[in-house]
Amino acid sequence: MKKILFVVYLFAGALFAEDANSIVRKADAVRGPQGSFRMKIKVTSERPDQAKQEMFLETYVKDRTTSVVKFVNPPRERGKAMLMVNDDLWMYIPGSKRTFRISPQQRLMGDVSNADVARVNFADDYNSTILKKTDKVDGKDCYQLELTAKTKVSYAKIHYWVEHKTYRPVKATFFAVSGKPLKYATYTGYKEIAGALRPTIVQIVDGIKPDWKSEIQYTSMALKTFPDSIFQQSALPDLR
Amino acid sequence: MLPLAAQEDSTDEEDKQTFRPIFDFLLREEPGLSVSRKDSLLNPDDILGMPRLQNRVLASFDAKVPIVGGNNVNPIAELVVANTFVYLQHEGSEPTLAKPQIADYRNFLKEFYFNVRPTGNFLLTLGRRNLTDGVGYSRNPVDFLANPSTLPGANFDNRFRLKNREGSIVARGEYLWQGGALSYTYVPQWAPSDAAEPKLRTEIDRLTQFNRSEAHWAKIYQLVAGYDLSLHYFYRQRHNVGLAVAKVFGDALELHAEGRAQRGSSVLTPIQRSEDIYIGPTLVAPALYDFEPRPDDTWYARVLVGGQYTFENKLNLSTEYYYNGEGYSTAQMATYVNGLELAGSRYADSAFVLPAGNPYRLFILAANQNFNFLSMGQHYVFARLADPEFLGSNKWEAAVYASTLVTDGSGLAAADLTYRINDRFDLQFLVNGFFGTRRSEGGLFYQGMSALMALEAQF
Repeated sequence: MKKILFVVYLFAGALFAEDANSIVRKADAVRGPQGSFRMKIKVTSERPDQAKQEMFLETYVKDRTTSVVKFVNPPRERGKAMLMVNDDLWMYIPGSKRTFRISPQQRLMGDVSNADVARVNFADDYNSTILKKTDKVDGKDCYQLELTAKTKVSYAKIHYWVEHKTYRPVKATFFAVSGKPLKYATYTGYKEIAGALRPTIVQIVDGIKPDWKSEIQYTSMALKTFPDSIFQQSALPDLR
Repeated sequence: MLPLAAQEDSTDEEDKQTFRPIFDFLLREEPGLSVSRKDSLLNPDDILGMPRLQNRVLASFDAKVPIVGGNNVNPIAELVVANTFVYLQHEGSEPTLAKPQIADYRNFLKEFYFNVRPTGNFLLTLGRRNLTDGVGYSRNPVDFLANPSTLPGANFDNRFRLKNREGSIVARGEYLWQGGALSYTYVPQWAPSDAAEPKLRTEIDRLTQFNRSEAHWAKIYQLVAGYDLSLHYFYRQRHNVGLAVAKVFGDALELHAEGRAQRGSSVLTPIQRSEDIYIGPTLVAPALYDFEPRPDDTWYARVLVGGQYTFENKLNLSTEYYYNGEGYSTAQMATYVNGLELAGSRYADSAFVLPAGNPYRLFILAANQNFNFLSMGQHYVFARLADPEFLGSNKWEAAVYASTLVTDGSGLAAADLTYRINDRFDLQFLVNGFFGTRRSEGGLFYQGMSALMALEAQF
């Protein structure tokens, strides 16, 4: 009997895991197109008593695992370029004329990680399980999911709320390896871009200091194809 | 589902722009202070007349101009230009060996090359280009076209040093594929110019100064299981083979290693040719020191291993060990210093009758020519701690770093503080301290300390 219960438990677990991964994949499809596309991004970071920081980027996404980020503004950041392939990151810095290997811990600005601007999908980097099938967030029925990093991505764990039926991401909490919450994100500003209704603003609040705020704004998103050769660390100096 | 090529979203007008040149301008005003080391054996009593105060103004522009079609991501052909104009002003009115002119200006056309992309996977480069390579931070054994920085004003951090060097004239082809690339770089030989007009001749000679001998460089790069792996073969009068590897472990640690083996060396070895010979109390044949070339069939290795760790608060720590097989052993370094001490004392001794040909003066000159700070010895360690948000403020960026020759404990320590005034203006404070005993590499350096404050504007 115990054996049968154990098999049923495993089977149910597998079913749930499959459902969770499929939900995350559908939410990824809401956040951005699943093929090759280009997005323009504005990142802002605000802290009390400190100057507001802004950064403008263009991300060229080849597919779910490969993308290049071009730094457009401010002038001191212009010319930098970042490549992300699976969970590997490279950064080209014009001042040093070199492309360096960087780690996920090396953040972009404020609480925004490099991966946050390089891609808009979680499904390939995390294993997902359902924590709650229904959890109300701002009056919306949501799945509450737990995403656990498969490899060395920026966040060890994510709690992710995805709206029923529409699969729209609503909010997320990102955790460090220690289990400490690193930041809280809210997905807002749903607009019709790149052929679908997608969140255009991700508001981020620091996990420890709630008055440290960052925002990722997708100012445009367009389906577009690129030559394979730009998704290559040795091509970063020529990207500009 | 349409094929991707047919899915182009035509709503974004900016993507339709075919020609969009990019121009970047930088202005830098940089007053600096240097304190000469009085007991330096290479510059006893500051006979070179090292400048104490100087002011440097740099005006740089970088341009990338699409020439033929495509889009702004991948033009088929483009021109890339990097140019810096430098105005340098020293204190005082008397020229010295170290500052032959009190005020000088010069233009440095660091890069001027065409990128041509006949297919999506093939890139051809023609022109003067500052090619860099390697995975290390402080040194790069596989940076085979590492031309010495010709712009005035020493800065030992790679953040500035690599950008401010002039390129070689190259023809380079690179074939790229997913996660890999194969490149071949040819450096043609250009003899000194025979142009009749002296100014023109000088300019041509300066533009071709790193093309005095032919060179070939082949490189293959492949990402293998998360490892960046590149293999190199380089030939410029000597055969070189190189290897570079880098990988990130976990979410914060990056480790890297690179090395090269070179057949033969252009570094000259100091030797003591003879000792003082006395007949009774009379010195009949004074001791002589000299430099001699190395055998061509010996292989010399340069190896760098290191890593960087980024803490949760953004602090970044880099450490590296560098083995320089071409550097002097402890015994050779002692010979170099002994030769300098003897030459300096005899040259300065008015009662001493200098041998014919003044070999002591020649030795001091040769020792100066062979002095290459932070590359004289064999075992170096480097450490750098950087905080992109110093004092918890996004306005301040700070870094401290040090490079030390392990065998004599001498070297360089520096502190670099940058204040971001706004999106365009930065204020930088940099202090370099050169430490070591009189007989050490750091103690031989001409300066004891240097400092600068720079205001930089980018447009």
